[in-house]
Amino acid sequence: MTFLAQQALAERPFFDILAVPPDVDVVGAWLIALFTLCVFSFLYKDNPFYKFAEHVFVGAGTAFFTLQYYEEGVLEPVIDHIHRASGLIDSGGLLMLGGHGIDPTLGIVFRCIAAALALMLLVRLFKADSWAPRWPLAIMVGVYAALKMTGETQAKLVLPVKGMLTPITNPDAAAWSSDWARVEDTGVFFTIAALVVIVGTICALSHFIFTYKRTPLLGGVSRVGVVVLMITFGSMFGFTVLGRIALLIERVDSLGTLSGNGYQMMGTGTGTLSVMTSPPVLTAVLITLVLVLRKITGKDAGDTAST
Amino acid sequence: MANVTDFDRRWIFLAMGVLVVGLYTTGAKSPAPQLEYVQAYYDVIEALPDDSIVMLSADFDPASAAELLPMYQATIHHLLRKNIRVVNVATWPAAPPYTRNEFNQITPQYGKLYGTDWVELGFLPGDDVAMAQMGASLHSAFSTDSRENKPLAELPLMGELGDSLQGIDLLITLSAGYPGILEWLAQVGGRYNMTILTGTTAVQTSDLYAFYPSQLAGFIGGATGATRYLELVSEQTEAMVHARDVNQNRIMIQEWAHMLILALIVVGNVLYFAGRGK
Amino acid sequence: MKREIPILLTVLCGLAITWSFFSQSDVSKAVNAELLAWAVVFFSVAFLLGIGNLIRISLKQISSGHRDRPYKIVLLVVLLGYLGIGIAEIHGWLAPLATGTDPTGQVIMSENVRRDWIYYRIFQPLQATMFSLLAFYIASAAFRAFRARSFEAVLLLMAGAIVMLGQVPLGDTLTFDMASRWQDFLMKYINAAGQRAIIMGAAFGTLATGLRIVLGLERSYLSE
Repeated sequence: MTFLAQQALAERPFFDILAVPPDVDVVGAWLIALFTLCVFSFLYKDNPFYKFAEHVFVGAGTAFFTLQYYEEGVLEPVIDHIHRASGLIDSGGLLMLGGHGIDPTLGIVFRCIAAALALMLLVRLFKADSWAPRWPLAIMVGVYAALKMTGETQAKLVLPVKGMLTPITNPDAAAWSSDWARVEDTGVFFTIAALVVIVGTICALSHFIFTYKRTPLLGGVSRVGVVVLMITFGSMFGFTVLGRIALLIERVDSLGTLSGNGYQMMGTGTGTLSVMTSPPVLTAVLITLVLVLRKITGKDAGDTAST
Repeated sequence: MANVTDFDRRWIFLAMGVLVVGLYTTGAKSPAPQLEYVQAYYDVIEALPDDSIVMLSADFDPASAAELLPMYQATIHHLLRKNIRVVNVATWPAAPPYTRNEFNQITPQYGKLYGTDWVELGFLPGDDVAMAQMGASLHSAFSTDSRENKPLAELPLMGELGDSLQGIDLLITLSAGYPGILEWLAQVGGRYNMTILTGTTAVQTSDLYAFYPSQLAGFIGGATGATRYLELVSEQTEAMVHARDVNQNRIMIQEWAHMLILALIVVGNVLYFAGRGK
Repeated sequence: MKREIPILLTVLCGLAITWSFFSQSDVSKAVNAELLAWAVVFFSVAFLLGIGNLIRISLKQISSGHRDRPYKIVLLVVLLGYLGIGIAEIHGWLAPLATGTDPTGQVIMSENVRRDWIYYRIFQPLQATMFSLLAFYIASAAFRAFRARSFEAVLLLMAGAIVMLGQVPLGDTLTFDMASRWQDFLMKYINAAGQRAIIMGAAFGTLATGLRIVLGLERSYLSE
C-alpha cells in the first residue's frame, strides 16, 4: 500500500460498528457503492449484479421489518405487558388502561387471550382454508373499519365541508388594484377564488354521481368537474416528477460523497487519481467490465433488456 | 424511426444520468422560491413559547429520506434552538434508525438532556391503530421509552405531559405516504383539536392544499419546500448552512431535469403527431 | 358457526371502537385501549406470516434446483443472518455498545448498534436506489407515453408543465415570473377543489364500507 493510500485510509476507519452516516467506515463505503451501482446496472439490462442486489434487498428488508414488528408489536404489548402486570399484582397497584385503572390480573388474562388469538393467525401457514385465522382477522377488520369510519368521516368529510363554509367576500380588502403584483390581495380576487373552490368542488363531486341519470344539467356540471380533476391530476403529475428526480439527485450526492476524502485507495482530495480510485468509480468499472465480458462471450443471452 | 415507442429508452436514461451527474459536479446552486405554506410552518414553530412540548413523528423510510430527512434535521434544529421539548415517535418501521441517529447527533449541540428536554418513544406498529392508540393513551401505547427502556412515568417530560395528547402544543409529522399526515388528521387532528404541521414528499404535496389552512397550520412539500425551510432555519442556525447549500445545489439540478422532462414531452408529442400525419 | 362467530366479533369490536369515539366514559376508554392493543399484536403477527412464507418458497426453489437458486441462497443467508443478529440484540444476548456521552457526561448505551450498521450499509442504499430508478422511468414515460390526444390530456399536461416550471427558479425566469403565480393559483384553488372532491368522495365510500362492516353486512374479508 502506498504512503498516499495509507494517508487517505487513515482518515477513515476501515471498520467501525459505531460509524453512522454521513461518516461511514471504509467497508461501509464499499458496500454502499456496490449496492447502489448494482441497482443502477438494471437500467442497462437485468443482470446478475442487479439480481444479487435485489435478493439481498428482499432478505435484509424482510429481516429488518420482522425485527421491528417482533420487538414493538409482539414483545412489548404481550410479553413486557404481562411482566409489568405481574409486578403490579405483587405491589398491589392498578394497571392503567386508557387512563382507567383495572385489576392487573384482568390485564394479564386479556393479553393472554390476544396472544392465543394471534397464534391462531399462524395456522394459515400450515392449513390455508382453516377457520382459525378468521377470528383474529375479524377483530382486526372490525377495529380498522370503525377507526376509518369515524376518523375519516370527521377529517375528510365534515371538516373539509366546514372549511368551505367561509365568507366569499372580504370587506376589509380593496375592491380592485391596477398593480398586477397586488391583485391577489383584492376583494374581487378573493371572491373569484372562493367561488372557484366551491363551484370546482361541487362540480368535481358531481362527476362521481353514477346512481342518477346523466341529464344535460348533470352532464354539463360533470364536464366542468372533469376539467377541475384533470388540472388536479396534472398538478399531481408535476409534483411526482419533482419527487422522483429528488431521489436520483440524492443517490448521486451519496456516491459523490463516497468519492471524496478518506475513501479513496490512492491520493487525497478531488484529484483525478483519487476520484478514480474511490469506491463508486472502481465499483462502476468492475461492473461495466463484467457486463461487457458477458456480452462479448454471449453469456448475457438470458438477461432481459431494459428497452 | 418507424415508431416513437421503438426508440431505445436507454438513451433517455443516459441523458438523464449525464445531466444529473454533470450538473452535480459543477456545485452550482439555486435558491428555492418563496413558499407561503413553508413560511407558515416556520412561523408556527417560531411562535411557540419556550418549554412548549411538540410531538415529532417520523413517518418515512430510505426511499423518501432524500426529501424528508433534510426537513427532519432542520425541524429538530429549529425546535431545540427555541428550547422546545420534543417527544419523538415513529409510525414507519424504517424510521427509527434515522430518529436515533439525528437526535444523537443534534441534541448534544444544544446541551439537551434526555428525559427532560426530549424523549424517544420509538416505533409503534399498527398504522391508523397506532395513531389512535397514541391519541387515546400515550402510556397504553408506549409503556417504556425506546432509548433507556424506562417506564414513561419515570421520565420527567412524560410525567409532565401526562397520558393524553392534550398536553402536546403541536404535532409535526414528516410523512412519506401511508400511514402519514392524512391518517394523523383522521385519528388525532380533528378528534383532539390539535395544531398540526407536516412535511411531505412532493407526491403527496398536492393533497395537502385541501387541508390548508383549516386543518393544517403549515406544510413543507418536497425538495423545494425543504430547501426553502433550510434557508429560513439556516439564518439562525450555523449547523444548517451546509445542508442548505447541498439542497440549493439539488434545486439547480432539479431545474434542468424539469426542462429535460418538458422537452421530452414536447418532442415525443411532435414526433407522434408527425408520424400520425403520414 | 365458522361464519357467524367472526361476523359477531367484527360487529362487537367495531361497535366498541365506534362507541369510544362518542363516549368519554372510563370503561369505553379502557375497552378502546385494549382492543387497539390487540389489533397491534394481530397486525404484527400477520406480518410475521410473510416471512414464514418467504422462507418456505425460497427453500422450495433451492431444493428444486430453480435457475435463481444461488440468489435464493443469498436471500436466505442475508435474511437469517440479519434476523439472528437482531434477535440476539433484542434479547440482550449481544451486549449493548457505548455510542457516546450525553451533556451530563453519562455514557449512552445502545442495543441497536449492529442492526443500524447493517441498515445503513445494506437496506438504506438498496431501497433508496430502487426508488431513484423511477426518475429514469418518468423521463422515459415523458417521451414515450405522455400524449396530448384529447382536450383532457392537454389540460393535464399543461397543468403539470405549469407546476414543474413554477416549482423552480428557472421556470420563473423563462416565463417572466408568471409560472410561480399561475402555479400558486392552480394549486391553492383549482387543485384544492379537485382534491377536496376526491377526498370527500373517498370518505363517503369509507363511511359506507365501514358501516357495512361494523353492522356485519360485509363479509368479503372472510374469503369465502
